[in-house]
Amino acid sequence: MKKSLIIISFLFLITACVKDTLNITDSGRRITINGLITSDSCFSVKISKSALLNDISESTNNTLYSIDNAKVLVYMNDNYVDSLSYIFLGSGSPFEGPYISRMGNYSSGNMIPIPGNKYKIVVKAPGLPDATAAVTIPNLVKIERVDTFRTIVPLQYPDPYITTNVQLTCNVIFTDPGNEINYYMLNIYYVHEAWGYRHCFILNFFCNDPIPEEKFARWGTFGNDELQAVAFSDKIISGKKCSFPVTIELRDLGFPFYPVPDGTDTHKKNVYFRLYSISEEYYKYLQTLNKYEKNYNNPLSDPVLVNSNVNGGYGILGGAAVSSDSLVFTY
Amino acid sequence: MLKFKILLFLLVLCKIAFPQGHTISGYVEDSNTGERIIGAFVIDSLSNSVAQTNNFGFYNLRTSNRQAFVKATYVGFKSATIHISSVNDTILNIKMEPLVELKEVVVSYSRYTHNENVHLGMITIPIKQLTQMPALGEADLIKSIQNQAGIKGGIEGSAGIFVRGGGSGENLFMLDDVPVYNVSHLYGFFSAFNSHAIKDIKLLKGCFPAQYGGRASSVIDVRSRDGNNKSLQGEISIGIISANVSLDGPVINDKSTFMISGRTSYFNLYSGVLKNLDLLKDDFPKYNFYDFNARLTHTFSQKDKIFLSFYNGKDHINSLNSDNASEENSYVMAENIHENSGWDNLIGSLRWNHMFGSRLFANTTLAYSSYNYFTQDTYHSFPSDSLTKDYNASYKSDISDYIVKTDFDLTINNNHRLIFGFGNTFHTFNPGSNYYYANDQKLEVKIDTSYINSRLLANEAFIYIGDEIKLGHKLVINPGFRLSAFLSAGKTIINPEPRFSANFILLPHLVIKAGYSRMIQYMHLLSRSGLNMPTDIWIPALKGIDPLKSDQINAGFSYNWSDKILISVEAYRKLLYNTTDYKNGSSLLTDLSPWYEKTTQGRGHAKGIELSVEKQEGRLTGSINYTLSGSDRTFEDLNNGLVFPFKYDRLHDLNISVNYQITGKWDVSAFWMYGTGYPVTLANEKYAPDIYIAYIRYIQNYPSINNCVLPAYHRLDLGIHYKINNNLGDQTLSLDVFNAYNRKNPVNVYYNGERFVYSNLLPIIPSITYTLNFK
Repeated sequence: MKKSLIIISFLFLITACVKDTLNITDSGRRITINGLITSDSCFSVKISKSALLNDISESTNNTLYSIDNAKVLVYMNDNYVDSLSYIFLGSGSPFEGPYISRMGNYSSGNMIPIPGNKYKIVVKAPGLPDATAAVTIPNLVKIERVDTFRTIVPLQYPDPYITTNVQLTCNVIFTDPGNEINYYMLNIYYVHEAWGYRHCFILNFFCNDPIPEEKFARWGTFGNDELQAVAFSDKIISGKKCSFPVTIELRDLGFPFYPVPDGTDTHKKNVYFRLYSISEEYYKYLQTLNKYEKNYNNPLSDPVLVNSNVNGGYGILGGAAVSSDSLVFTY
Repeated sequence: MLKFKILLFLLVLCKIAFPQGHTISGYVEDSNTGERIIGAFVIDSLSNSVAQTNNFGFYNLRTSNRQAFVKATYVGFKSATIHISSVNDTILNIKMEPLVELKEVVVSYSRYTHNENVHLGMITIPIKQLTQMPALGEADLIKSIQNQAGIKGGIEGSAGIFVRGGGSGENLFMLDDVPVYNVSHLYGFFSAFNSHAIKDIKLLKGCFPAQYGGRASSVIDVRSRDGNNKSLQGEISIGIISANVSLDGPVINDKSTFMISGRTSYFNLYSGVLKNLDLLKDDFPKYNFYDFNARLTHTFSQKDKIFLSFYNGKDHINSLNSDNASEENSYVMAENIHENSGWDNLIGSLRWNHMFGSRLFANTTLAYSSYNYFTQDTYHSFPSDSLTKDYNASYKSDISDYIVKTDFDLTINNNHRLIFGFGNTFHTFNPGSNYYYANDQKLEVKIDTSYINSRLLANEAFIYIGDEIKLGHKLVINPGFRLSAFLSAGKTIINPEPRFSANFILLPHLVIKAGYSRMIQYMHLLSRSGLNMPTDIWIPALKGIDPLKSDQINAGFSYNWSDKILISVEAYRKLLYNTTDYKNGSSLLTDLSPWYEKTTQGRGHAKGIELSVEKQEGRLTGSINYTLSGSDRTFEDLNNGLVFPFKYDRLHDLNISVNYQITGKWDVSAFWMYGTGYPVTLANEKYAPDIYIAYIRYIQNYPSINNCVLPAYHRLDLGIHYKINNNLGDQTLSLDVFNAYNRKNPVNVYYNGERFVYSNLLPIIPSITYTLNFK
């Protein structure tokens, strides 16, 4: 009896031990396709490779962002139309924020996606399983006009940099086609021309309108309300004329607080409002990516599965028809 | 021919409605306390007819003989036999004497003798079992339920229960016929039910009788004690975290009784000492909980009795941290962080028992039940530059019910019993309101905003009829039908809920059973964790959210081995429709959109086989419960529409509990459980995003929801009890050891940037409890 008790106790003590870590199952790497092909630029996507979650090697970032020897075939309405060529982009990152214009590391020289057509790409890379993705470019919804009005914001504390306190509210007016579900994304950028140079910058804006369902804030969930882009469905504007208000601060364009003295160089700023009619899959991608960011490392929420339409790999191939309108500022 | 058929039908109807013979009815009571006994068998030895007492201890036996030997039997009591001779309806209250501990008594009837009368899917948990089993601090009803076959306990230490693949919000906890919405204290380590105030616990997990409804997966029917109608008695129990005092006795001898029972935690009293000894962190919050049960009964006559019950339970967490800190510009700053949260249940009920004649028993209930939760965080800083920061965020939600219902129990004859009733519950839902205030003078930010979900009012009405028919000596069938309706915002949803079960005596000790039941649930519990946390919110079936529906079929058998051991095997298959969960990435706190936009509905599927072996009489008592089961969920909006395992899916689940009475003073108990690890969602790879958002530089790829399984869970609990009896009364000293071999059971896994690391919760925990019963 004593022996049995000792043996049983010993067995219990052995079973009390448990490994404190879990090894990640390595099922091999996959191709990642990322891209929003738009009706106003050449077909371009970013092809990269996934990494094991705990891969923290120096090369990981480069591995994540680039494959230079892939074969990328493009089909339009199931007919082969082109293959994309690799372009070296340097060791730069993917697109910073919801972008101004897109440039992938695989591009077509002259093929511009046409609304209403279905595009499919097949990506083959040595040592990796093939990946495919398809998207139909939505029909274009045009910006009809942009109405503006200025507001002077009282400054509680004087700004030591003496920039302007003028806000500009811009109503982007467009009409949502009825009888179909549409998804949109809107962002603003400006082109600064001075001393013969031309630079593009994202222009942050504010929007308190109830229409946007997804807001992409400059500093993520825990930042302030400065937005880089918004995305929304036509849930509450279906078939209606929509006046979409966004507010920009002219100090972000570099406007000075006091009038510029005579004889100073003139600065010219073109501000572009871009309305993307995006595919449903891309909208879901933005939605889930936004939630992924909000819930990142939050123990009270379940992990977010980011939407993908890539078979055999990861990422998203989105499609958009883009309408653009602009305002010109000089000082 | 038609006339003949009508005549024949009327004759049969008369035979059923007005059977020959007379009725013996009344209550079965504990002779020492007058407490009415639920589930006792009453047998007429001459005619061999059997009846069972209902939830109020009422029985009804019909006999055609002038002579009757009425015998009552119940586990833990000596059989009581009374000879009566009458041709008229008779009211007979039977008093049963409790068995003296330790004696191995041979009884001619045990609780297993008439197991053909026991519904498939129903478990009665003896109160004695609660106190005999080793416990974490104190005897706990929920933990005892978690150990039954077919029940999963969720995360270690929590009060969640998951019945046959159902969710934590699919269980109806009823205290004296009134629903209790949150059943946990101390985040689940203690249940809201005070075991000292409980008389009877019934767990139904399938083949639901028609009187039960409102939840899809289970009903836990808890009955509290009436109080001793002979003399004043009491109980004091002191554990390491909480203490309990109960007192009950007669108000007017044999007519009125009272029972009060209060429990409170007193951990705060010595937490300061633990902090001084560095055994507890300085910022450990103050935590208090209490609950209070009170009951008053009055017997007007042999036919009328009223019960007035009250319950209030509350948890409160309070944390105030003051600190000096320096900001980036070396400003010295004093800051106060105050966290304050709590939840409470409040229940009141008035019930009236009435006997119409000798065959119709009625119970009418008027009740109120409410649950509310609040949390408030405030932050205030006083930096040296006098630019203050104030933040205040609060959240609260609540639900309240006004209930009225009447249940009837009609014994037509010994082979035919009808139950029927109707009722209505008026619900008020407040699915949550958030308030946020910020005043940061340095950042020039001032926000003062409330997000309020509008209150929702609803009526939930039901009418039911259930039948128990004995066909010959071998077959008992229980057809039933419940019609429920939910009325809110001008919209009415009506659902039929058919029920059926049959028990067939195949061999003298072998009963085979089968059944089907449909349950409709008009309210959903939105739970992020499934832990039965106070932050879980109840939402009604409205605004595109349909009621939850479950269809369950069961089959099994039970074998009574020498009236000492009962072996039961049950197989089930359950389909859940419109089960509700948060959408991908939505949550209560990080998402301020309305609740109906955060939710998605899908389907659930569960199947399993349960084996149960139990022995509840004699020196050695215990049970073995094993479950082989699987459950999954399918949501169009989750996991790309593909099936994924339910969060608390567990393939194997084995619980063994044993109690051995060594002498009259000493008994020992042990409990061992083993379960397959719960599934978790883990990423395996990372890949580049299409765009950067804030600091997100890569996306973790989760192949699917619940794609991995944690290591197996097992633990051993031990207990030893020493009883003495002296002038003070009956005293028990219990020493329990939770997780005796200190198994580090993983309850979760997290990624630390390099690898996945398990987190575990409860190590070996000894506890000591002293109980004094006095008269």
